[in-house]
Amino acid sequence: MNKTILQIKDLKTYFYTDAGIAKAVDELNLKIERKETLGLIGESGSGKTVTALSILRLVPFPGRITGEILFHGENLLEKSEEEMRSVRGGNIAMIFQDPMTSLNPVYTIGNQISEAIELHQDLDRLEVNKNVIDMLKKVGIPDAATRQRDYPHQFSGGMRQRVMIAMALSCNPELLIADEATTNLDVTVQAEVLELMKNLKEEFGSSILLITHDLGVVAEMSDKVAVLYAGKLMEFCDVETAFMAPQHPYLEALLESIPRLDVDKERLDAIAGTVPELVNPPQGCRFHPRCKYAKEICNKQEPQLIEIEPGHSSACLRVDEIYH
Amino acid sequence: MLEVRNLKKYYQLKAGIFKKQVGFVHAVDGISFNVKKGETLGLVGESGCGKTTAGLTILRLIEPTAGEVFFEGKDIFKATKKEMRTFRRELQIIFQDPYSSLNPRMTVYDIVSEPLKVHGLARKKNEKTEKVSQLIKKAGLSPHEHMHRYPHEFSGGQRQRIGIARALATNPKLIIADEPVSSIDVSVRAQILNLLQDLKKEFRLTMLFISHDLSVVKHVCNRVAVMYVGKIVEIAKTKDLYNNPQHPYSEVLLSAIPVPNPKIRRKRILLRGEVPTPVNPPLGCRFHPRCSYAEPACEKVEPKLINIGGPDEHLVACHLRK
Ligand SMILES: Nc1ncnc2c1ncn2[C@@H]1O[C@H](COP(=O)(O)OP(=O)(O)O)[C@@H](O)[C@H]1O
Ligand SMILES: Nc1ncnc2c1ncn2[C@@H]1O[C@H](COP(=O)(O)OP(=O)(O)O)[C@@H](O)[C@H]1O
Ligand code: SF4
Ligand SMILES: [Mg+2]
Ligand SMILES: [Mg+2]
Repeated sequence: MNKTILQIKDLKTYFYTDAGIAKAVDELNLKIERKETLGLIGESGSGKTVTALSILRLVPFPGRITGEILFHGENLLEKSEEEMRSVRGGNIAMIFQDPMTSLNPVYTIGNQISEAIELHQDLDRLEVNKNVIDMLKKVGIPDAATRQRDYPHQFSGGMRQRVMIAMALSCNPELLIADEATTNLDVTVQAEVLELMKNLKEEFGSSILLITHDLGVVAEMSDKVAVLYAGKLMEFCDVETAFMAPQHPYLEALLESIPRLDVDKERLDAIAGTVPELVNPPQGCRFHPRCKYAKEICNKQEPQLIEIEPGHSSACLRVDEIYH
Repeated sequence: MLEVRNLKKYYQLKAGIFKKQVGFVHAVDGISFNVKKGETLGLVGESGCGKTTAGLTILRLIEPTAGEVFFEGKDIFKATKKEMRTFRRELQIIFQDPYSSLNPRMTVYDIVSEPLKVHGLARKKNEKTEKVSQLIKKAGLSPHEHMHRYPHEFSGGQRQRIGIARALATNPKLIIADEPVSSIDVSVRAQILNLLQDLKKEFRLTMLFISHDLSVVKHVCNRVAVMYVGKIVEIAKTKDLYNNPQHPYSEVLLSAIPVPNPKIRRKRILLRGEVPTPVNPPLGCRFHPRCSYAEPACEKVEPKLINIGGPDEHLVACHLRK
């Protein structure tokens, strides 16, 4: 009984720039199970988007991908471009932060969703059109039959994001990748879109790779959490453990640094310093210059991701001393 | 210290090739509040509700349509040129986007010393250098290392520190901070919030803190005013608002925030419809088309902002609260 739908093995996505090699994603190992939401967190520049683009093989020049990305056991990195086209927007769909980048301004919303459906299903025009309207209704677009004839610019930001979701889900993807999909939305609209994603996951049994820097969204939506820092996976565990008992100094520090609705604090515990650049990342543990637990060993030896208890991995040299 | 009375700002709405005026954007439509000496008042609400417009109009960086703003008892909108200079010194603003609010061709030294020059606060060169390095230090940067660099050489958090140093240069009494941490990375946000907290104490600042992030506002503010489509719907002490919101919109807004605790599964109130445009805002209570408690009166009569909290002042504009 293999429930794993996506498995990433030793993924390295490096950008060969004039300034040097930016190791945007470095030796990443991850798994997503069926019907599971994996929250991928980390601040900007940590490699979240590059991870998503790597899965879909959309990494731009001068990026290069190595490793394995197994989707139902088949390595996507070995597929032809033609095969990849049917994976994208079919088995795997993606929603971006800015829906305008993936909606075509010169076609109506209805046209674009029909096209997505026709690409992956063999239906006649009437059936396709019925599907389009159903889908728009499902994502909460009022007056769907009329509005499908509108162009993207005639929709508000929140409505466009829903159209994107409708489009992404119109082919019942097995994996939905949502990259900061609600980041630019107002909280009340975000709440609706999150609700929608939850419902659709229930209905279609899809898995979700949820990329965000908002820890609240992750806590609410995810089953598992993966923490990236400067291209490295720092911690991986289930969502309760991540928020109740993290075992990596970075996640611990991140949780203590945010203002929260559910906790009162006189003063925030800020993390010193800033995110490192990736061409010349810090030696040893990439987090060491900002880590309050760092000892001499931390700038010499590179930590490996190790399983500290079943289903919980951490990449910290001092994990035993700090957390036991 | 700052009193805002019935402030309005309507933008002209133009359309067509001849840019004919076809209506008004009622961006800020009669808001009243005051900020007490030493406090931080939060101004919250979703994008487009008029927060930035309110901030800019109060400082007269854009001209108001109507209303009055008193700073320490003096009417800013009736100020002479000379009085306006004083206001400009005593009231400062920190912007959301440290990228676009700093002149890319000016060094940190130029940026921070400019207000000193404009207001004649340091005439001699060495006096100016001394003052600038003090400010830079206070904002958490190194004068030695950073003073002669350009904005593009800094990270988002550091740029916001430059903006803060510039705002402090005139030794202001009140600062309007418009989304000061919204475009800054999560791990660096706390540094900037702590910095603002420290400087506020040290310089005995009063602050109007504009933000759409209710978690940040809860942490920073003493009192909070909630805006919806150009109007203030509720003003209360932070604790009272968060524990006991009285306006249906505040209730929805607070319930929508995802909490970083997977064990808390909150009951969420979902809103119907979309935010109305400020061009033709709904009659009566502006929230009525989306409010689950709306009564017939809500469609016709605009509710006034009234105090239901006694001496603790909890103001709310809703027909259901009397
Ligand atoms: N087109 C590109 N060219 C060169 N480097 C890139 C490019 N895209 C991404 N990178 C590198 O990858 C890093 C990670 O980027 P990204 O995955 O977008 O981060 P995140 O989504 O976590 O904010 C960037 O900091 C940058 O160094
Ligand atoms: N210069 C302008 N001209 C016309 N309309 C404007 C202008 N600036 C803002 N608006 C409109 O005024 C309303 C309030 O905007 P703003 O004050 O920026 O809101 P907020 O800061 O709360 O997001 C919005 O509907 C916006 O589109
Ligand atoms: S390895 Fe060292 S520097 Fe890295 S997280 Fe652990 S203690 Fe901190
Ligand atoms: Mg990204
Ligand atoms: Mg604004």
